[in-house]
Amino acid sequence: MATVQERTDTSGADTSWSAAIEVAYQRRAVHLWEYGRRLGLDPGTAEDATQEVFARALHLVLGRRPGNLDAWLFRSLHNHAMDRHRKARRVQLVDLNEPSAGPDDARRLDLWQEVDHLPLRQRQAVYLRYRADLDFPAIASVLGITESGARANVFRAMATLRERVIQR
Amino acid sequence: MNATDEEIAALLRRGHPDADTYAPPPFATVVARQARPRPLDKRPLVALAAFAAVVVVAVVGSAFLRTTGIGSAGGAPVGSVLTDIDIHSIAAQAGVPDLAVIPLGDDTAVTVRWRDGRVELLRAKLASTWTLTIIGSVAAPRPPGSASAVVANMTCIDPNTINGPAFVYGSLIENDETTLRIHTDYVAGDVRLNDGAYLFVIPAQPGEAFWIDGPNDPGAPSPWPTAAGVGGPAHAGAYFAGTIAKPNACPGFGGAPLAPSPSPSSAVLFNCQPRYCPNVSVAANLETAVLGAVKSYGLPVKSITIGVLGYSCGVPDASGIAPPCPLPGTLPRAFVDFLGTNQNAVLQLGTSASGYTIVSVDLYPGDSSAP
Repeated sequence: MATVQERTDTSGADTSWSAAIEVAYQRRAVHLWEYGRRLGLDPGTAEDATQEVFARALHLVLGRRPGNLDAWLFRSLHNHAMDRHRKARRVQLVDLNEPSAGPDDARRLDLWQEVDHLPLRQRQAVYLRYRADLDFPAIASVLGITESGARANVFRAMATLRERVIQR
Repeated sequence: MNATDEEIAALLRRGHPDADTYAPPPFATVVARQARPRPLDKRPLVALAAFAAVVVVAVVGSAFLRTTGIGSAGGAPVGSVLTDIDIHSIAAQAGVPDLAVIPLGDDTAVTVRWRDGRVELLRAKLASTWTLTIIGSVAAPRPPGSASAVVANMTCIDPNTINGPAFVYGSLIENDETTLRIHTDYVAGDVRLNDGAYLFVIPAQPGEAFWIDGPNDPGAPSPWPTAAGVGGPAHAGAYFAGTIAKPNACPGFGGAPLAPSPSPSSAVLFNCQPRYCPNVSVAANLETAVLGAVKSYGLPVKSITIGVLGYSCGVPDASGIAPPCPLPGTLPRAFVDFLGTNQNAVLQLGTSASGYTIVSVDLYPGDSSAP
């Protein structure tokens, strides 16, 4: 093999893969940031983690690229968040539910406060199912559990939320 | 009355209220972040090293317990094999007035601000004797255009220690001449991922600098060399300010040079108009020139393809960021930096030495040699 590297753009990434990542970024950046927040990251760190995950995705060489990019992104963000917590030696308690703009958001805020009090797995599962709109095989892939385990976590989370959230 | 699943799901799909106002940065920031050089995936090597370390500790520990009878007598547990170092006392022995010592772990990014003096990134290890390894050094920040505003990247390996090579990336952040961002990472052979490197912030020593060295060369103060390389330390492998070639040997460890040697190489030139840097034909010239430079450092590379096509400077791109042009009064040239060893290297081309990187290319001899 004579060529060290195929001709690339200035980022070193091939254009078709870059385009795919860019599309994913437009679609998923907010979701990943919000997922990072659910995993206990502060806003700045969540943004940094999101950026890092996409940068790593761009850097993936052919052959190591995931079949399900969405699942890979969420799983990478989870790993990144856990690394951050591990390096910090403890999980920093950040206020995940800062006061929001108006009274219309009050009910949503109440709900997400309950979500944030769920056990981690349930919190992740319910977020990935309803907010990130992932199917159960993808959720299972993100969480490293079986598909039935993913369903069970979502079921339990919803049961808890049903009990705690009052209809208005 | 409690909410139904449908109501809860509908609310969840709308997300948390704080995401309503969150706007992610433009994708260009991700591209810029990705363009930074990255080390090899070290996880398999680390796992192997960790396994090897466990085996060695088990074997040695078992022999130790048998010899001393501690284990059979139910005595105190055997302590840590590796002793933590007192980096402050080591610094004092080396005559380094460390104002701030910041432990750097694996894959650590730090931002440092300083006015004058130097920042040294060191690696230290204590076995029966201590050693200090200079990994990188940054001269005092200077006004733009000054030849002294240079980041010197270097990797030295002490053959007396078990430590393997380390990659250290340092770069001055654009538009802030007093900010240094350093990224550290370790690769094969290093089983001490979280306590091997320290960042020294050294106070201002106008016109002077200390040469920090290991026990074989106790580090007498040496005058900081001029841009022309005059008056520098007598050691082979001294750091030079300005655009003089960086050292090609590690100090105090028997003079075993790394391959490839750090550069920049003045042999690599490219023509760059103030507002438009090399076109396709010039990029081809670049490839030829870089190939020659890489071969001259002993890398068995047959060809290099570089995607420096239509690089523009001074003109904002879609993200609104304008890549900087070469500094006024400086020769338009590409600087080539090698980071790494003869096993792998990262080639960076920039408009100034360790400055803005146009492109970085991972070089693996195994990918490219084979005549």
